[in-house]
Amino acid sequence: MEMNLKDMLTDNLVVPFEDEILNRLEQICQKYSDELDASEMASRYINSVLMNESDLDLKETIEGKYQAEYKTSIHLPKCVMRPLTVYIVHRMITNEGDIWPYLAIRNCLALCVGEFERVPYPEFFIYVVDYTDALLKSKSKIETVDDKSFMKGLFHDKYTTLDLSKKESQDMMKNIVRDAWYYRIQNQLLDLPEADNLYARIYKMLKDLVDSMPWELHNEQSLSQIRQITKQAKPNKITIRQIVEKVSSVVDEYECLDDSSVLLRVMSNSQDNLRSSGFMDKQLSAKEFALYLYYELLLEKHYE
Amino acid sequence: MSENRIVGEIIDSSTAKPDNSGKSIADYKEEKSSERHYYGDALNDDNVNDVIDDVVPHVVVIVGFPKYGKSTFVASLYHAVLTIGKIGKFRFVDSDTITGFERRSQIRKLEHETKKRIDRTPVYADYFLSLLFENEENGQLIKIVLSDRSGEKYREYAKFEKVIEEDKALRYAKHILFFLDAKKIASDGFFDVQTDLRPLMIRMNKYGAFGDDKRIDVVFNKIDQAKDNPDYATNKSEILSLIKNVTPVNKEFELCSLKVTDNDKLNQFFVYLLDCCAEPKHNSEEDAAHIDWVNTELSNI
Repeated sequence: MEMNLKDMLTDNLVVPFEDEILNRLEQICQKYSDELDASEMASRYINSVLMNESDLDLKETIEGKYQAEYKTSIHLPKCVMRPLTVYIVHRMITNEGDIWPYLAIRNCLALCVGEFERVPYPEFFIYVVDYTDALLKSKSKIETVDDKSFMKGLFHDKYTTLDLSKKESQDMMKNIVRDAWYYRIQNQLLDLPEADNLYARIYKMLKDLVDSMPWELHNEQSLSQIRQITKQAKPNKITIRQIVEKVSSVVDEYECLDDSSVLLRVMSNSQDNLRSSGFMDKQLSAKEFALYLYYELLLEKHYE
Repeated sequence: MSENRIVGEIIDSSTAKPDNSGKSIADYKEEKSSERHYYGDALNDDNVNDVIDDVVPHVVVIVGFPKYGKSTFVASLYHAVLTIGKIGKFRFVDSDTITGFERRSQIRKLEHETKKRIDRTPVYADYFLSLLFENEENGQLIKIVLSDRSGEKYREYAKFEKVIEEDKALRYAKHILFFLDAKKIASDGFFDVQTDLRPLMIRMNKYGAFGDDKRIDVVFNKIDQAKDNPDYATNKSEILSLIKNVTPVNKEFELCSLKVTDNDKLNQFFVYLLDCCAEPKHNSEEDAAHIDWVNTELSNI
């Protein structure tokens, strides 16, 4: 996917910048995105884009770099910060190709629940959604290896020495460990008592699920668990404000590691600035809540 | 300092003269616009982007020849904003170009009182005017930026390719408003309108002022002085064909922009303009569903 900074900026200005200025800005943004760590910055920047706020630090940084590089000042109107930010983030994540910044940006989309028709730069977010999906599928795949003789040997005192530097052995053990984890967590979740407070129960179950995961990318098994957890949930929706109240008894106060964990932020931090925004009035069904929450917990676990 | 003059003068005909500051039009042209700009005055290409903040502006370029009523229209909009405080559901919040509006308003008032033609927007005057509103229904802020250039400029555009290329807003703005003088169209002046408009349309088209993503509206102004004339309807139709041969037209309006009281059509047109600014940029249903990744995933598990 290509992004054309010139077109993106022109759409936001009364009079477009001169070509020379556009070329310079493009170079500054490209250099700056190369310097940035997508894991650290993508969520913060995309939050500002989706909340329609200008990141003033980024504005000052770009203006400062422009001054330093070309010995002339530039004043960037606030409304060009959205396209500039999206351009920088796009370049930053494609440079690295790591799954976690993509997942973080996808998580940020919870900020737009109920109004996806107003998400700016839809082509960028569609690209992120598709690429995250593809990465989750490809990265979580473990080759199936015949483990029957190995497991049989274990129970008949015929131990096989495994060379874990070999990929085949690694894959066999990963499959066994994953299945063991899955078996345990299924039983554990089945044992949890029914509760009147569905949202609190979902939080508790998902927290246990993610905490117990030996690897963050056991996605297929986790989704299967989420289906189990929410199978009784009705499709009606409640506001995030109501959800926060419902889960307050089971969520400890802590600070999230990533800005993209928007639900966890309002649930776990009473001082978070999202608490005073319109985000609290958005509505989610229990199933939607579970899925957003699962990926947020996953990302937080990865950054721990 | 030569700033802060009201540059209009009452004249009997279209004999445009330099103002009485001793400077010629050429002198003003040579000065950098930003150097003679007052706080709150209209803006130009060099400084208009400076007043943009978080709100992406909706730019409307008002195209029309001299005396067609462009600035009168702008002044009437300003009058409505100041006297009522809102246009439909849009509450007036602020303007970066109050002085620019005041200039036009003052001259509109003089014109109204003296019944004389006033040459109010000299070719060297700055032209961008902005208004900020809040949608009372949802709190959304909208900013409208009007490009109100001298009618003489459009004569120059029709003649010289280089001149039209200096008007970046004309090319990039998503909304163009053709202002036409209905009184002139209903009279023998109709042929002059055709003669002026035809080359302008060709030049604008060549410059790239039209396109699929543009909203092109046509306003027949001074309708009160034309509607009873039997030739008006036929001549109007010919003028519209001239425009539509070059670009599709979104809507046509018939207004009297000088009359600010009991003028429902004018007020409805103001509301229409602001509604255009407030239109949210909707993604297609398909795109919105695609971005809603949670529900896509829920349907698969």
